[in-house]
Amino acid sequence: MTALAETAVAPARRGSWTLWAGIVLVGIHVLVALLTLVWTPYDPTALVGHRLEGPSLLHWAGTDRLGRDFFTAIMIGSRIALIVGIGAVAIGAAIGVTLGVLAAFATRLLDDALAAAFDILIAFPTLLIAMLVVAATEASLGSSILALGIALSAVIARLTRIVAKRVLTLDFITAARTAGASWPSIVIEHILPNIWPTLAVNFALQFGIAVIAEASLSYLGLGAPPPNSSWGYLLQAAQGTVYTAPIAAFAPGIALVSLVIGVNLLADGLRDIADPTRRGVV
Amino acid sequence: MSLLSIEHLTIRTGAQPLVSDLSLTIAPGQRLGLIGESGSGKSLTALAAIGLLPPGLSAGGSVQLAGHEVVGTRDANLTRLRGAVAATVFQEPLTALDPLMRVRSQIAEPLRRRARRDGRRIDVEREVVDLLGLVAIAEPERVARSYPHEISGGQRQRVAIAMALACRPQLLIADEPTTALDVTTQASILELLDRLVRERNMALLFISHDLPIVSGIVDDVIVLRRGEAVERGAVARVLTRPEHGYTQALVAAAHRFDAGLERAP
Repeated sequence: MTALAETAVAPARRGSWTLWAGIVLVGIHVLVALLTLVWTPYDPTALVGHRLEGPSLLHWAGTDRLGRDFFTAIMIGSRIALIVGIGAVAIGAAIGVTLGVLAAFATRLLDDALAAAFDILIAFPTLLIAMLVVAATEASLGSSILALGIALSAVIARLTRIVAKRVLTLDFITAARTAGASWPSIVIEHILPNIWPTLAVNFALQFGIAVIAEASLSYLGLGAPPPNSSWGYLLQAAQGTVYTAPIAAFAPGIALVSLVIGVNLLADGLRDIADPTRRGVV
Repeated sequence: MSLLSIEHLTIRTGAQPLVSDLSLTIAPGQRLGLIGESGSGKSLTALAAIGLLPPGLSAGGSVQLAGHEVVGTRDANLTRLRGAVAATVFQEPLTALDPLMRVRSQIAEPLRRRARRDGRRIDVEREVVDLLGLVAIAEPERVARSYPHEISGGQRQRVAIAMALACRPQLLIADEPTTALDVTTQASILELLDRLVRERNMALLFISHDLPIVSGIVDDVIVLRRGEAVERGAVARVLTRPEHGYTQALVAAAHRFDAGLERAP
């Protein structure tokens, strides 16, 4: 009966449902990531079993081709993925929002030049830009994050420019200006809060793209070396043994997908909170 | 010295003139009405007066705000004048208020700015509630906590007026402040503006397409048509003895409208 009653009220609280699902999915990854800082089932580099063991009570996801515990590697992957996603989006947002707002305020000529630059950058695949940056430095977690952040910044800048321009034409900006507000205070008080709901959802998308792109970099051998290896590295390692140990190919994929979906659900929920006019609306 | 002095103002988009050779002055405490149909350039004149023409439009001639030239002045130098000399109330209060900001914060913003400028410390909470009381909002504490979409259209316009008052301007520019409101609300907002302008000894530039509304609140009017002033004078004279054909037509239309209302069952 209780379950039925809950199902009945669920449609009216759809916004909070996505938020909670997002919190749970992302929360699991965050908890696991924090846990790996102090404890993992096994030492990630120690050879603790036979090669390519199947799942068992001792090794929940089996062992890899050297006999290391695979579940430990997946757990550490959560930490790496979160660091990559947050770091890349933070760098991308810092560069992108600044340039985007600048373009929205700039003179016609500067605005056109910036917009063209964003478009050219976007025309290059994210992965290609990231590979260029990593190739120019060395394969490490830091260079991957920097590379992805730079690659994401163009997309964020273009979106910021468009939404900021739209907000700039609204009456309340003119109203604030007639009341003597300066441009910096208008950006902080009005522009950023009004573009935030749109940006937050996009940041979540970019987070997912960054995590997947980093997995691709690692898969190609351009990611951080072990023990900082990501799910992409695990996938690449599992490639040769996919018929003998299929779980090694599935588990990192499931972890990756659950994190990306979780972040997107969370962003949807957060947008509804950030926008008071949507609050309480189905 | 006049608060606002516009001389030979021309506003054009490309080569197309939208306002041509318009001159007007407003002295402290004076009330001037600017009347015209849509597209007559009355709102553009108000924006040009504070140097906020939309991009793509250019102004020629001279606009002086409290003795400072506005036309051709860098925007940063105008920021100090806006609000302090002239504040504006717009037609549509829903869009003139930031939808993501509580009423309290919207009014607090100009209050804080003015306090910083004067180097005073203020009790923002109390001044916001005082201002809301001044514009005759019942339950000022509740409205202060609300978002714009949570209050009525009349309350929103009162909030917009409170925002303008928070700047403590010498000149209030009201750009069709009652057009988006229903008739009973219109009357109470007009009464409010009339009282506030009198009590605070402000000058008023009242912009409207509606002759009867303007006549109740201003002393002098200028009639604009296609960007040109076709008639100006004391409001009583313009209403009873209009000289220009366009004004005569406007007055006749208003009379016909009134007569129609009286004949209606």
